[in-house]
Amino acid sequence: MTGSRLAAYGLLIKPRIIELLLITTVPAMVLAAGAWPGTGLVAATLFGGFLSAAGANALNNVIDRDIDVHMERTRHRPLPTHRVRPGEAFVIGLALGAAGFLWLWWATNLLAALLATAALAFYVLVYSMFLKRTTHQNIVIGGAAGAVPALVGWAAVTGTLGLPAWVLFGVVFYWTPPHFWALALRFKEDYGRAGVPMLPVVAGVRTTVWQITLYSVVVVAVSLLLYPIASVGSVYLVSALVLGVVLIGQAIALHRRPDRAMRLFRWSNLYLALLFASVVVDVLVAA
Amino acid sequence: MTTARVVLIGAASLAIVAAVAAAIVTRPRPRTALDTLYLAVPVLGVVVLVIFVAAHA
Repeated sequence: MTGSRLAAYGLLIKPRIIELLLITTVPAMVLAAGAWPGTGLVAATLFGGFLSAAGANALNNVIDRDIDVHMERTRHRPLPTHRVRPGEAFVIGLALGAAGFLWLWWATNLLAALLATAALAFYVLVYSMFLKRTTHQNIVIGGAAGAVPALVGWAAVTGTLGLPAWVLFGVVFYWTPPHFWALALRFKEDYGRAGVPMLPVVAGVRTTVWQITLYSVVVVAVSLLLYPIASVGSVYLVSALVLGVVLIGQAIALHRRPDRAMRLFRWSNLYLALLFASVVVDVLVAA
Repeated sequence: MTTARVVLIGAASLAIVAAVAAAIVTRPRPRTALDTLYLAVPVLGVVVLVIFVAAHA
């Protein structure tokens, strides 16, 4: 196998997106355990999560290939450039998804495996095939798939789902719309050309910026709900407040300068990473 | 439950209610009936989450 072919397979699984998914898994595990849950379990869960997310992304590439070819941002992906055949990507996606399920079941438990596979199925069958192409609420509902890794992490440690896990799920779920709408503002013409009804395309910039602001407020409020019901302390509370104020501030700034949407997009990535990192720091400091 | 926790849950709940209400008021015009149905998912989701947190705190 040539290096360029290997690189194409690497791009097929969208490694940058997987990074963000895994960032939310470890803090959920630490919070569930109330301490470091063990490097072996963490590594096993991350590997299983990586397989499932990679499978979902490969299958998404297959479904979105007709859209990707029309968008500047995506037309260099392996399928639109014919570096990987659709059938090949389909088999890779299914194989990775199945491997993720079996690995998580073997290395952690059935609940974690089922959750990861349900997220894959939801992302591919509900979001990519249906919601993305039919409604401007696509990313609101579809965001559920990206929020599941927090549940997987919790389930991998406890074998059940506790309320703190659902709050973490809620943080990622309500964070997803402002995050993706910022990207959609930047690539509005791209989405319009491809016929994808993203919010800025069907409702305009002003409405989108308002929705970004309001969802940002909800994210911050939901993030604060973790404090009363989980074993987190002042490190988390202060982090959630400070990071949240900056997130809302960035969203408000968009009203004056909507052309700076990518600044919010990048900050929202950092926001989620730092917020979840603060969970780890808080728990480990107290342990 | 300590006063600080009550205040925190109350403030977070108020912020959520205000933001959700504003999100509904400023929502983009639905193109299909399903668009309205989809909006119910995040609204009900956050309401249920707040109720559970308040009950368990």
